[in-house]
Amino acid sequence: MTPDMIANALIALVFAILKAQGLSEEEAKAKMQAKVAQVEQLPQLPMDI
Amino acid sequence: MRQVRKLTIIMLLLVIIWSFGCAANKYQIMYGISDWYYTNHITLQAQYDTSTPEQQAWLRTNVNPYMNIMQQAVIGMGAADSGDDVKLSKAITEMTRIATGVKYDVLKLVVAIRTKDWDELEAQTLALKTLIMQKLSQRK
Repeated sequence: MTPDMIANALIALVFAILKAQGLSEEEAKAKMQAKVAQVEQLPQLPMDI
Repeated sequence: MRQVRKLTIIMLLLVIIWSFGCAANKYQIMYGISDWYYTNHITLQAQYDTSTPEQQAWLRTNVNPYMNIMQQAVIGMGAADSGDDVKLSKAITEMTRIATGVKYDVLKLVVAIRTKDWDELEAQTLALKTLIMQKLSQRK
């Protein structure tokens, strides 16, 4: 295995991780937005101020 | 020379991965705050509904205003992230109105939301959560 092949393999690995990270970020954002939307639907708790 | 170039590309990509990691972490922080609020709102509303009038009056004064501040913080946080300035301003105005009523300082919380400083937001909401829990522990 030449250094060139190792470098190519590393780049492929980095791209695979990058893709997985991108997907997990989208999932995390969608999950957060859904929860914030649920909170928005809740009426305020009654208060005396 | 070619390998050096490839190594440089790898390093750059690693930096990009790191920054994506930070972004995912940001959403985890925001989800954690929202989920805490949602769960506790449901629990507290149920407790309120089954409380005596005296207990309800106590909750209305000592706990619910702080929960409502937290709700506006969650709404403002979501609006700041999505760039909805109208919703953000509305949430901050309401948050400030309630905070003024109970003499609670929300300046740092407002700045954290406006500047999208999620670590500071986490710290400020943690302080608010702690206060709510302390108040609830004093319930008779």
